Amino acid sequence: MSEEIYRVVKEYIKSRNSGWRFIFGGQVFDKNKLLEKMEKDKKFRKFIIEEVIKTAVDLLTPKK
Amino acid sequence: MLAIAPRYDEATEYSYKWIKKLMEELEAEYTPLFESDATRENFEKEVENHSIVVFYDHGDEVGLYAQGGRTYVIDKRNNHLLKGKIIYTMACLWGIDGGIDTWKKGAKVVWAYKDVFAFTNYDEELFMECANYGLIIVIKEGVSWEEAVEKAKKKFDEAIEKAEDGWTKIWLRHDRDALVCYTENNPPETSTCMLRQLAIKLFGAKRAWKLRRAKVFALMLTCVGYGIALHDFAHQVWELKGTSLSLEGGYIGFIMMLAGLLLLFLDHKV
Repeated sequence: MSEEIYRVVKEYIKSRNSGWRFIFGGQVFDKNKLLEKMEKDKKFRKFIIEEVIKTAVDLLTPKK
Repeated sequence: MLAIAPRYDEATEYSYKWIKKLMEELEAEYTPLFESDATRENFEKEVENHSIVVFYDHGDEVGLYAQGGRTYVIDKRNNHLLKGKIIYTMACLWGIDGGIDTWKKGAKVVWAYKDVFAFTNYDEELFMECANYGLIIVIKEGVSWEEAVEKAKKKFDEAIEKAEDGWTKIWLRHDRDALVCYTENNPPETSTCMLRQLAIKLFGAKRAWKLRRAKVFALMLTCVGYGIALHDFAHQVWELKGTSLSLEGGYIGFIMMLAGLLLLFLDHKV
């Protein structure tokens, strides 16, 4: 399942344009840098996958 | 109001823009410590003249960074200067430890994030609105800080719904969950101290943060002393009567002491 999420995330990032930026604290990623970071840094990749899952759970949880 | 915003890298370009927008919306007088003025010295010189301090930029568990990112504007060595004041931040991680320490040292309100603050440039507006929202509603609508944090989280929810992009939704949700606001009525739910963590689990955050070291020590002394005295009394009764189970005035005294101690404890006096 994690691999499937990672594949989709990669596809998503690849489809961004060159002006796309993701600011994560002090780090600013363009699409290539982010793909490289996820490929090299397993911990970071795991963190991204967890965030995707948490968001899916949150979106499916009825709001009060 | 004292507004602090260093500006020295790509990420701070955004936060600098956001704090300017916040000040514009608040239409309140403020003293800016922007760019090269965002230093520890300037903060320490200015802070006593202000009841609200706003900081937008890089932070970590320990402190909030000054211009250049090599030193802190605020850390555990000077956060006592925020006693009785409101500190509103948009900075990473400070809510984990530095913000709690500031609150413990008497800051009236600590608005912070307990994780990295993340956002995307193409939906920047949504993130900025959510980050700025709390202070705006407190100042302009007069809501309490406890209400403000609830409303700010709802604002994040609205932004999540409004966002068309999945990646934006992920990081809005992430930032919403990282947002904390520590006040007297809304104390931190965590602590770096293991004993405090245990107390939070046992008594809840509000009661646990009222416990002071001296009070816990006094309680421990009382319990150990009580145990020794009860054991010794029971032993004396056993020596005299051949059984420790006997209706004695001493036991009634012990029961009354225990009841008194429990009443004191339940009344938050211990």
